[in-house]
Amino acid sequence: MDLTTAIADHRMPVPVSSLIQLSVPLVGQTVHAGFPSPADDFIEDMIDLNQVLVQNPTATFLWRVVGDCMIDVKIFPGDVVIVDRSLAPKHRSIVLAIIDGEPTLKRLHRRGGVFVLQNENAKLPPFLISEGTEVSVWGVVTATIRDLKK
Amino acid sequence: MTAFALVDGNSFYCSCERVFDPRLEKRPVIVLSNNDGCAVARTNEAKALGIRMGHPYFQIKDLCRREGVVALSSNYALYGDMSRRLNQIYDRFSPDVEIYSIDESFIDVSRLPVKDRTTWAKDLRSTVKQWSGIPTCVGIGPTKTLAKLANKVAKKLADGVLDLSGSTERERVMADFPIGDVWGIGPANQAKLAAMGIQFAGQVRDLEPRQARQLMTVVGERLVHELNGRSCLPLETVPPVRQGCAVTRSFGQRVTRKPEMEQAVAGYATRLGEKLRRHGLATDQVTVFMHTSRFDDDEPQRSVSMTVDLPEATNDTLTLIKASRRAVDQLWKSGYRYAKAGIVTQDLVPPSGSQQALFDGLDHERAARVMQALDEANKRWGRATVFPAAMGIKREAFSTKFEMRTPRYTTRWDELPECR
Repeated sequence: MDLTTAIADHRMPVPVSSLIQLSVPLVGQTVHAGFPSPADDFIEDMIDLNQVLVQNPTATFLWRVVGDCMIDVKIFPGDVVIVDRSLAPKHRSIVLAIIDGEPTLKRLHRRGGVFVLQNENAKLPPFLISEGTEVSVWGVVTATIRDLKK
Repeated sequence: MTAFALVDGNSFYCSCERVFDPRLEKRPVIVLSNNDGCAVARTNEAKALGIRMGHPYFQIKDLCRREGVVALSSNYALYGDMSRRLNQIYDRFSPDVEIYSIDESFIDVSRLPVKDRTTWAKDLRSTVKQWSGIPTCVGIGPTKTLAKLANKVAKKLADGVLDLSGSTERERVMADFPIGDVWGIGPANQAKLAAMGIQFAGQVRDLEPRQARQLMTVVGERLVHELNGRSCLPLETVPPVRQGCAVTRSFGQRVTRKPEMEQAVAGYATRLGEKLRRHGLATDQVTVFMHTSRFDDDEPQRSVSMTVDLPEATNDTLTLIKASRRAVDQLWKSGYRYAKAGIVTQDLVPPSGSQQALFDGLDHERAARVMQALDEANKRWGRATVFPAAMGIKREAFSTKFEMRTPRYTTRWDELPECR
């Protein structure tokens, strides 16, 4: 089963850790008995989507995007973002922030020791945090998944 | 010298909910048992309102509405996944972990120098909080009983960690630690001890082991040793073979008709078969029970059970259904409003280890193939995609009530948490 089928097939429970099993053979095909395959010496490992998408499955969670505050960096409503809680947010990280109890995606900027959160959508007003607003970083966004069949 | 750490999630079920719904952070939250019967997890804010463990929900419904308590149905898919993640983190901190329950694990820390144990525990705690969002507490002691005791005290400490490796600190803590909170002392023993003027853990520790044995059997003797720092309970990293298995449920609505009861019990038999096959076990008898609710105290009460012997040990769903149906046939009496039923088995055995019945033997191979196909279909397309017709087609009447369940945030593509 490939990743997009997994996303499309809602009946299939797919915990993040099982992404490990979503692998594609690099050099494949069964070899018929009697004929040594010249490809045998070249069989490598399988391509593992986790290697690029999920560095730390234990601390990785998936969130569904419903807002449009990041469309300028091509994160659209309906996308799934991969969020790693074990990564320390850095200057220009895209983070899942909790602002007054509301989970939302923002770009994190560090300006002279002060962290600022910003939308990436020219049509939206610049994001301002008023006094008394509670802000925390839930995790760092490492990748997005978009189903192109929809 | 042995040393154990006990890590547990604070208000674990509630904390799992808060990770994915941050608006719950400051509010009192409770999670209810199956069928939304009673409170099985409470945040500190909910405890402060006087909501007890096991408090029936119908008794606190008004309080919840008045005080803005968020009451949620159990979301076991979520709690199970979060528990798995927690134990994966523990594995990075020690090779020897015993998963004791969904939210508690014992970790062997014997090889860790005493001076490093508190720092280690604080590291573990902050890693778990950072990676999973779940707050935990860690208690450390030379025995499991003392690690449990340390964990209880750690719950009240700001940094959530208490190491009772040192005997001076241990004595100080045990001097006023109530016996009711000691691991392994149930209400009956608590009453016995209280009658002798024993109120604190330190007094139990000072009992003669032989006297403790007379009072509370071998369990009591072991307890005295454990409280004295002599470890009697080793780490069980391999889960013990299951002794028995039970599938029991309260009905969403009272059951008054026999076909409904037959279907419900067939459903439990089906689930029992799944459980047995998953663990590679079988049983040669099933006990079916059904009873009314003591909360319906103005109605006639009835509580009955019956054990059916099978010709040989099996985990075949269809055989289990047939047997449990026989029990329902015998037990059923109309005129009562049944609130709960279930199937219980004991003495589970590996299917191969059982004596094959000479006569009336079951067709193993065919049954095994059918069950394998059934399990695979249900694994692939979700539980109860394929099910025996005996369970009935319309199953709402006795299906579990989860009216206030949150999404299965971490195990279903169509229920992921949402962000703006």
